[in-house]
Amino acid sequence: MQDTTSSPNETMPEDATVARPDQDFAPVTGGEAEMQSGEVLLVEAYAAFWLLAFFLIFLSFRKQRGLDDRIRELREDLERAREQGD
Amino acid sequence: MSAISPTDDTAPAKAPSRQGGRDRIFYGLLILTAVTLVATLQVIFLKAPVENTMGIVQKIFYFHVPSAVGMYLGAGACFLGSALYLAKGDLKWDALARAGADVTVVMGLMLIISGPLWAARAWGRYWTWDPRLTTSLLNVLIYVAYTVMRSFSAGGEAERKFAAALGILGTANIPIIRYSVQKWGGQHPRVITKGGGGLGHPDMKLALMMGFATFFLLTVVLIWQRMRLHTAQTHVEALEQEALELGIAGD
Repeated sequence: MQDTTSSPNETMPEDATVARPDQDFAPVTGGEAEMQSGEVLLVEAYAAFWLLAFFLIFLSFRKQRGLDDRIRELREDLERAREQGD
Repeated sequence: MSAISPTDDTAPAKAPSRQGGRDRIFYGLLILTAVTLVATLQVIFLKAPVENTMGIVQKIFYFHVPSAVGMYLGAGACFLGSALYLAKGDLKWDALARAGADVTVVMGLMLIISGPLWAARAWGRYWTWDPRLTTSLLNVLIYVAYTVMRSFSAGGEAERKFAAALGILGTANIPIIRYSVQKWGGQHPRVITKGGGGLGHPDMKLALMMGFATFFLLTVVLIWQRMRLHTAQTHVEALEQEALELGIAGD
């Protein structure tokens, strides 16, 4: 009857060339494509789309608010200056 | 929101009712864009089937191709604004040209970021110097140059005319991008153009059509918003000049 209680090291032959999946790390064959997750790439692409769009919208809103305030300020200053001039 | 209230302060001569009408159209367009976007995302992720060989990553296509159309529209607006500014000298056309260039850069960035993410899965590499990829990158760089130049220049007439010339010349690249695949081949796929493989399911076609609608609306909204911003900026410069002449230059 075969001994099933022995540890892997005891049953492993002495020959060092035998593959050990738990300790011999080798890359997946087939190149980069095999390692790209479609889900991750999709999320990255959609994140890029909407981050870019919302970043532009946010910047525009903020800048527009600043410009509106500046216009109001300048108008008031100009009006005051004209009144003083009259 | 006062931040994007369509330049009520920047166009004092216009009747308030006309401005109110424009406000309503702008906000209506903004809401329509948001609703279309949500509906499009639903169709893409819940209705359109997963592609047989590429898997879920193929869904990038439904926004990638429309972003190219958005880039063309932005460049078209830049061309139109530049040509009309050179012909008529009206600053509103210069604002349109600047807005078009801004939107071209954003849409172009979406295009050249999403394309390589799809290619990583489909081709096994992010980038190749394929004619369409190269001409698209060149196009983005042209409009980046335009926007950088406008941001850092003093904003005088000479700069505006130079920018208008660049805006017109930059558009020459658009037909080259469009027909590069037909003329020089390359690796870039042809799906919906002449000789392409086509979309094998009606829901795939629907998703793409909705993608086009979303990006068309988004491009129009962004151009409109940026145009108002540049118009306001021009108005600030004019008021500052007036204040300087009266000796009341603020900080």
